[in-house]
Amino acid sequence: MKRFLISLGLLLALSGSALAQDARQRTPETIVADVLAEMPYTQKANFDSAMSDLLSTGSFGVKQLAGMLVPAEQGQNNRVEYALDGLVAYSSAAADDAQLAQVREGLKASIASATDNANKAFLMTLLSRVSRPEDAPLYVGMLEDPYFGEYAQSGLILTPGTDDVVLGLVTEGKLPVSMLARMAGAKGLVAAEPTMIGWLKNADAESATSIYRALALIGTAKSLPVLAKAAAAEKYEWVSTDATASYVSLLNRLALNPADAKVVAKDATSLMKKARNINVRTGAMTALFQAEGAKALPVLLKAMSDPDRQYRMAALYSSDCWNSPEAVAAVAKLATDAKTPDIVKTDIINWIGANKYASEVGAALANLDAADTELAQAAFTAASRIGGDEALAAIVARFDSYRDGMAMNALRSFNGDINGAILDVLANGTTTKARACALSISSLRRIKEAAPVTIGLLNDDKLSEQAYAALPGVVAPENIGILCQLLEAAPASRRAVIQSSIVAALRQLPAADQYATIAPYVEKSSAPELYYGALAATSSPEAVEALLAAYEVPATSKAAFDALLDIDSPRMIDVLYNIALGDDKSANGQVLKRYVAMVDRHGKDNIDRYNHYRRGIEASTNEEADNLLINKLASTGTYGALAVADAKIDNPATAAASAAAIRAIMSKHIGEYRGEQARSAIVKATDYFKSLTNDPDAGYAVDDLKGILEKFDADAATAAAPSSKLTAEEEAMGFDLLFDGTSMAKWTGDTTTYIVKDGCITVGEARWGNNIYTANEYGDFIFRFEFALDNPGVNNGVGIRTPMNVDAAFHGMEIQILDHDDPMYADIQPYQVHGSVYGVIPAKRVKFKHGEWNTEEIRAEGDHITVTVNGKVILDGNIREACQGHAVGDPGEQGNHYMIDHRNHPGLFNKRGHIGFLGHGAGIRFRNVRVLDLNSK
Amino acid sequence: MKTAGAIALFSIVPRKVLGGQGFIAPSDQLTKGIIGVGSIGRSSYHFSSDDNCRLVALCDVDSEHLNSALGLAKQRFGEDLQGYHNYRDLISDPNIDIVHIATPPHWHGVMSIEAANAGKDVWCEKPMTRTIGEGKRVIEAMKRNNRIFRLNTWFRFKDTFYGLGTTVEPLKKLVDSGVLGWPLTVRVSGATGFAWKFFWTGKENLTPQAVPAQLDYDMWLGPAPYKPYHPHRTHATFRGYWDYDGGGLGDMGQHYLDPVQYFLGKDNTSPIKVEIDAPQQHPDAIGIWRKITYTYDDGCRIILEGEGFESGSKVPYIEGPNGKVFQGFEVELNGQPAPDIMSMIAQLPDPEPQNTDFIKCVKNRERFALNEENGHRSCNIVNMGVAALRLNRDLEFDPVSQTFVNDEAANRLIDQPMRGDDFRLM
Repeated sequence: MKRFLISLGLLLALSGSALAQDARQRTPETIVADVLAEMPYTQKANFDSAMSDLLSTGSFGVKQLAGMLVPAEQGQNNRVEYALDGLVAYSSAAADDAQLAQVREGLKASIASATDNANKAFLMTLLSRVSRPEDAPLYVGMLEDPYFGEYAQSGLILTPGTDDVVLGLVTEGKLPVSMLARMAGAKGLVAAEPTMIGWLKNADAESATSIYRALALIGTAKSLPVLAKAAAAEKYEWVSTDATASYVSLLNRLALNPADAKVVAKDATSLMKKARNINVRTGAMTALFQAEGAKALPVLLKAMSDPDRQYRMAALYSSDCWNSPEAVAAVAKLATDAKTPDIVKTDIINWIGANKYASEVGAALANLDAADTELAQAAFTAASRIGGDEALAAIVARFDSYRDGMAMNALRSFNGDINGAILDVLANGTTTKARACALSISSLRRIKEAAPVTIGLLNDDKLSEQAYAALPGVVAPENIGILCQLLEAAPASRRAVIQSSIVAALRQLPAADQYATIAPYVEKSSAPELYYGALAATSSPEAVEALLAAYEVPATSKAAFDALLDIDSPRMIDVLYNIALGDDKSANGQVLKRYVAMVDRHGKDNIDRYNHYRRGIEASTNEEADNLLINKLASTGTYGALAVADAKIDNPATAAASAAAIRAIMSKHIGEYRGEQARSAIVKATDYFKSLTNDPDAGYAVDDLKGILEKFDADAATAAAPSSKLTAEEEAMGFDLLFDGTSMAKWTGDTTTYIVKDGCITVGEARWGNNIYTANEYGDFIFRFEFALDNPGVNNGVGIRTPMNVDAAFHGMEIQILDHDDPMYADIQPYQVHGSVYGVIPAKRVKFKHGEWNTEEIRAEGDHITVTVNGKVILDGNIREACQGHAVGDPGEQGNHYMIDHRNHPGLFNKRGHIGFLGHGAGIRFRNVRVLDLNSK
Repeated sequence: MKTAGAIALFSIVPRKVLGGQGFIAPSDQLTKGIIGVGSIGRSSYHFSSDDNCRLVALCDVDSEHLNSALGLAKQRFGEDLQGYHNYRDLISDPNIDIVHIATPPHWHGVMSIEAANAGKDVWCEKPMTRTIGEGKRVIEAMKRNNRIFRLNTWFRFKDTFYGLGTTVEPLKKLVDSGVLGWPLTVRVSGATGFAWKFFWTGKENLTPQAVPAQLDYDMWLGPAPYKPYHPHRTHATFRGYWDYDGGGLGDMGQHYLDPVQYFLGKDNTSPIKVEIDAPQQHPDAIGIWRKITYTYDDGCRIILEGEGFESGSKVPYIEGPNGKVFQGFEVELNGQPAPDIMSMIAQLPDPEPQNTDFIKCVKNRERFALNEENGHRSCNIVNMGVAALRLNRDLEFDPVSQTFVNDEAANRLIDQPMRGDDFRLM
């Protein structure tokens, strides 16, 4: 046992270290190629691992990748863009300074050598996300470039620690003033202020604008007179030179700084007088209030007599920064002053309410009876927001006034508990009107304590109507007995409201108790149909049975039917289905609508729901129900649903729902639902949406469906995989079928990345190192398989005579599989092309077509390796001769000068080992994999 | 780009001239101009004109869009509206009270601020701004110019809220009552009735094309970095590019999440963390994502599930220690269904009244229900997600300083420089 543990531990340690060596073993070129082939990553862990590998290549990887960018007209850059952007994003958090310096160096070198404008701009954007002060010279050199200037400026602005650089440029003053001002403003360079002010003397309008804006962002009090003068020249209007806006902006910024309070107050006061535009006047006031604090109260009070509402409200809200109860009180006082116009009072009350100034609730209450509607409304709203006993009593007292509507409305959102006050009015109210209001609120708020009084008022001369209306809202379970009594005796006109009251009371009980509570009253009653609604509300099995029985009796059938439609129970699915199937089709649509609701609610799972909807279609004689059922079928996403939609799309009445269903289903099930019917459904749905020439959204649907059809056809083209079989000849020779199209039983390793799909072994998203191996080991063999390269640039390999979980290319052999004609492999070595014994013997180049099947045979007999692709021998060599017998270099030698790739291949002369597929990413399929073990002969 | 001159395509007709018998006195009638009349700006909800607020001017950098919208206005309102090519001409038009910004989001910040500086009130489409920094500047500009700002999405105060089956109001009451417990997890997912529109993805490998004669592409780009023209970058498909928007998250994020901020009571704050589960994103073209999780400092979470990556059918929209709310406002309290929940909710006070009539807000100078401050906060959620997706990592956020914590590269996405000398957020 102990021994086993040790050996397992050793094994893990070995395989761990072997894996760890892999990234180092691979050349930077290989790492870059691997990452590219795998772009973009869908999983974060894979992304991080790949970017970490890429980062390990230093500036090389960046340069290599950037060098692959081509002008957009000449090729596709997306994978390179993913890789570079990914690397920059990854290193911005994960790289240490030295590693990041390498990335930046790579970017800078690539920017220097880039020739395509868009690509160069892209590289500059990347640099700007990670650049450091040392990168400033690159930006500085390009600031005035007509194409790259904006990117250089952005880069400099974004790079922290470049203040001195920008300041130097400002002092130097050689660049356009507007550009310098912009950068100084964006970087918050206060030190640039004097220089920029100096520039204004000779500045043209455009430069001046830039300077004003920059001063607004960074200026000190020294900029105030400058901007004041410029704003005056604009007559304090908003014009394109932006001086006024800059001035107001600076005033408000400096107002936050106590040291500048005095000068800001002076300027702001003056601007308030001179400016005509309301936002400039109020902007100055906002700055003044901020700078002076509550000292500016006289200004606020004076503002209340300004005829312009904008000005008044701006004054009120600008004073919020004071947090001064005294100021609030002083303003509130105006709202109770008879001399103050109503509209001003309204403003003040609205402000008090919005800020919930509780100490000034009196000002609101004083205006509840205002004749002016707007003012009264403001008062009620403010009182409701602020809340408290005083406000509650005052509002409730208005039940008796012509503002009863406002009062009731104010109580809905009243800040606090209103029930006590309402019950008090109900019990002790002196007027009918007040009690009517209280009844209404009691019902709205479900005040149960109001039930006895309400029931008592049902026969009141004046309040009967209101009491009945309130009844369902106030009743509780303990009222059920009396409600039933009332129901038995009530005139027909009152039955409905009492019935709803019983239902409302029942619903407050636990579901299990509801039926038992109402049943005795039903049994006692001589008119049980009065209780059908209540029975239905219990949704209990007993109620279903009782109502079904009543449904069979002609006299009670209609009432029972109506009640059945209200029952919420899984049992109703079958009940409603049977009713829908029945001879009476008059309510078919209504029944099926409820049927669908019950299936939605109580269906066990998708398939269960599908079955019910499907059955519903058969029971339906109603187009509206058909459409509803088709919608619901679509939501199940089943093939059966597609078939229904395909059939129903031919009928104009159900075409719209069917087309939508086909679109929804096929957008999620390509590769799963195949065949002529699925295809024809897509085409029909497309035609349907094309026919909707007046619907602008139909265009989206058509585009969407076109895309679906393309994918469908592409899938169909690749789906026809014959199940693998040995030929008669192979059978006779003794070949072993390693993969028959279904089973991975003869394989081991990463069978979660390598999965069987459509009769092929396919590779899901994989990082380098996700491999599968034959369960058996082989020495001399003939290995035959078929493969299809689907993704451009895909990279895989056949490991032979290799241990598991090592880099087969060095610890065994790797017969390369590679889409080597992809542009990103333009620079690979001959010994890296497809079919090569990787790093040892080059193969002849084969041309591949994406998505098409190729046959390959690898024959290994002693040192003699042959590789045949599509019937053509592309490699026929001797591994021992290829390196003059030196799998590793001479003693003391770094590398191996005998080997074509100058590297050690310690596993080259392994006698035997596994055969494996060596994953570098998705986009490749294998089938018909078989092997003949020559050693067993 | 040069500073805009005040060159209008048509001469300005003062609004009183357009009045006539039966019209509200011009002083009582507000006027608006729409910038961007491609799709949303031309939709009936926005392209309206009535006694309360008359549409008087339109602006677009695509002359075909502009002419077609002017034609539509003639047909619908029987009026020749003022047409502008340059938004600054519209903003400085003295006949306009309200500037309605219906451009792609990379313009929202700049235009809102300039409109405020020019003394206009603003109606802005969602998402509010393309960066967190721009949103902060919009708040400052509205404050110092004392302007009324409306961000246009509305579920916090009206209309059935997607999968909820009701307005947000009863949910707000339920959440405020505390019966669900705290903290809450909100799942915004196809499985709870909120589909993400992933057709807003960009295209890679675009080959440059000639700019059509009717389009002023330079002005269309405005503050965005220059990229060679391709039609897919602009007009109906711009949402697929990081330079202008945030894909499906940009389109629907604020729509779905603003009400969540509201009912969670988070209008003055932001999450402290965003975690992503997504494929690597292309630097230019926006792709899809599987899941984005936001966490607030009190443990409340919002989980966004991308299309095709939704949980099974019966997941709660809101989940708290003591209760769950499912699609269609089905509620479970302490593990038991609560079919009578609406009756229970009726016992609770209504939420504080909100000012939901924008025209009235403009007239009375009251803040609109969804304004620059709470709008900015809900937009932060979108922009936090965008930053995390672009960097392919989880991020931490400080809701007070509104910066990312210990991530300088993420913070470079907060204040992104604008192109050229002409756009400034001040």
